[in-house]
Amino acid sequence: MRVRQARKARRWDAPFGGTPIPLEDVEAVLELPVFNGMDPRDFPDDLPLAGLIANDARLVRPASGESVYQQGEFGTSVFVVLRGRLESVMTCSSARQNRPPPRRRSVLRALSGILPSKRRRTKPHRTPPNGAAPKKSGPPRVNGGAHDNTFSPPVLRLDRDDIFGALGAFNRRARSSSVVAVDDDAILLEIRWPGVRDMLAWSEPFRTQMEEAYAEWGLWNGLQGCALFKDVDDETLKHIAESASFERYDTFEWSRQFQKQASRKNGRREVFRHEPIIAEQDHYLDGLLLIHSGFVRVTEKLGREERTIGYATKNTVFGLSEIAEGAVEDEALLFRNGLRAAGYVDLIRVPTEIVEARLLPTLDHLPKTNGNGARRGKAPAVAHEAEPGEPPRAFTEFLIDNRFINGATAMAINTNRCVNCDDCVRACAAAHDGSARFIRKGATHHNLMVVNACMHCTDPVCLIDCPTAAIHRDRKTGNVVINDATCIGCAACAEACPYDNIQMAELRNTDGSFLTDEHGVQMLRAEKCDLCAGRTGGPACERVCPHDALIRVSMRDTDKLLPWLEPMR
Amino acid sequence: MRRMVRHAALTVLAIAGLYGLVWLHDTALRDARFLDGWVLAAGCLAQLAFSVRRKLPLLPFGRVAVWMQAHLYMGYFLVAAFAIHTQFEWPDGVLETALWLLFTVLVLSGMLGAYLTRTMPSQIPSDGAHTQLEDIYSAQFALARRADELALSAGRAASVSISELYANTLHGFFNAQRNVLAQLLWPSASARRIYAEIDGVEAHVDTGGQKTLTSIRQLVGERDRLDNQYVRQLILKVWLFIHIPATYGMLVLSVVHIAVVYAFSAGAP
Repeated sequence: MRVRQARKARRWDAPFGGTPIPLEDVEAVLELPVFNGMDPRDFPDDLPLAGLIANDARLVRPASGESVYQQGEFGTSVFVVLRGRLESVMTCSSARQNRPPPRRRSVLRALSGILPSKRRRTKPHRTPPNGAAPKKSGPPRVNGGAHDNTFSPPVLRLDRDDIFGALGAFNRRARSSSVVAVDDDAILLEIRWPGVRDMLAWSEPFRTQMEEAYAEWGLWNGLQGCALFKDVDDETLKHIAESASFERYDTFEWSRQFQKQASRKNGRREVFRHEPIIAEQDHYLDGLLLIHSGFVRVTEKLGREERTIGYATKNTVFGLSEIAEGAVEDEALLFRNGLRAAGYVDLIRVPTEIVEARLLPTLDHLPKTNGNGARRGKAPAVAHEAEPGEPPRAFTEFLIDNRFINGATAMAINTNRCVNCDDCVRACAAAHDGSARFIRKGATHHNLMVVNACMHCTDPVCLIDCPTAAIHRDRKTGNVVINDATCIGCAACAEACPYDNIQMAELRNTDGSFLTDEHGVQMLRAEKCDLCAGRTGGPACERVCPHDALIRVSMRDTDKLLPWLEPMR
Repeated sequence: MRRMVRHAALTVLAIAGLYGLVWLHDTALRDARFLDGWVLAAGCLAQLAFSVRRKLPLLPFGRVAVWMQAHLYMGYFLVAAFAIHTQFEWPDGVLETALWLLFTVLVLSGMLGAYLTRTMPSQIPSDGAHTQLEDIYSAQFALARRADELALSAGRAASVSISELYANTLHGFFNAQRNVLAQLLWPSASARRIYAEIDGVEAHVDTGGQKTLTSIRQLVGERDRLDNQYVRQLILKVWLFIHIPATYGMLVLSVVHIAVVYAFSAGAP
């Protein structure tokens, strides 16, 4: 066996900005209010705070009008405004459109007032779009009243020392707003995720500050982004926000516990047993629950059994229909179903009396986002049966128990069509220098096989521990890709992936010899499906299957999945 | 279903079109065999393109599943074209007979393959575990080892019946390969026979022995599943060992046939 030696790549071989930030600039940065609560002595010797700033951060100078990031893009960096002004604009269609013009009074400031923050960084100001003079809002609207149809995207002004980007960094999902530079001389400090993660790990003040920023932005974005609140005016929304609470169930690193539980005997039962309970069936419903991010398992009790009947995700609301029915005799308001966190869940809880007084008058009818998880009185002891067109219950359980609902572009094989020709594997190998990026094996349910190939998860937990951010989400598509140049082969991503979909490949030289580091240890690199990035026509595996037995599909897209799996039911 | 009807209708139209053209040629007193012969040759080349497409997975020439459909319906069209070309008659020369036989083998193996690929995958028993064909031997070996250990753990003194069952029946069952045809025609027959023997022994052993037999019964079930998977996966591959050589054989003979036709067609209209 031929062996060649090479120097093993290290974490800061490729600083975020190309070159490390000069020491004097690092010192200046550490003087900022954001960082001056941090004690460099809290950090280990091999991970100094100055080193983190120098290598895991970079200075960004956006020109006036230039966007730092766009809503819907993916990115896990956190930004600190060093100089100049920026604006955060939320323009999604589900955002609160058709609402009165924004006022100067900042909702975020109001939100921050209700959160226990020692030091408030955000000093946002609402400004009307395009710098137009603010209009005065009319009197509170009533149902069926005339609407001002002018689209007014919510705008937040970001000034010196403000932090933004925490939502995307923490939950690894698409940016929920766009940020645009207003001033020409704006300077930002962009800290990539590994730096943020290590500062969170070693500095309590920084952690507290970021958690607060996350909760503030989460509450703000959750209410703004939910269609339910689209007809609520600013003043009312402010009131709702002041009364609402932002809650988290389980941790962002849920996959570690999940892997342990799933690997035990009766793994699926263990997973279910350890899921944090958000609400229990027949318990008092104290308010409306709006899921901000994550996946919620919806269950029903049948005697002593608790069975899964479905799941819910972002912007699903529970409890609205019951609250909307108004006061009914003396019966207590109860949850119709149980709710459990399948992975981490962020949710916003709005108290019942606030919903009745502030939200219901703005609603013409109950929206479809209602999860209908509440009821009055005891639930009948009748099992929920899947309606025609709904996925079978066992199928839903299979997806939730194994956390396959996380898969945004999973590889599914219909075993009733697959003839084991391995054309998919050969095509994958051909597209990746002879090394196939998946194994044609995986968990099965009836004729569905969820193959051990990267699912490009909605919540890609593999990103969390990467020391160099080599594994990241593509900014535009959100696909999880690995930058071979910065992967140091530490296997953190492979260990974090709860689906075993990342392999560590031994590195070889062009002459076929193995590469070892200076200590003689085999050099490795993480490899996984990249959906044939850079090649036209999409993933080769899907294109070459002669029998239509393999598709790349979101595991939540049952409209596509179930007809394709026929006759599974 | 709608797609299938559409494709079938297109194929029938194409066949009718070819037949019409040949009829027009005949009516004009021209030798239509050159026309349908070249159509047949072009069709055969188009069929070969499917194989080339599969070997070039990265080229953006559309999904292979679409090519597969085209391959199938083109095959049906070529059967008709072949019948028209041979004027629905038996061949009379050695070369023509060989071509005719090869074409028939090609068509029959293709149709068999189409049938198998649609029916066989759903017949592969899984019980939640799909074992790849190449992994089945090692899985069978592992099962045989586990059966060995189980039988030995019972101990001859503890259960003579289990030891005898193992020596006379189970050892052979776990260490031999099933007959492919028998397994295909009478799936699980061997396993059922073993189950019956286990039932016979079970009545005469103690509680420990019964537990051992329950475990052995599970292993027999697993082995039976593997055997069924093996046979079906094997058949899904074996038909190609007829279809592909026949393809290339026919390609060579077609070239010879065309060369011969043109060599001896001087004066043909």
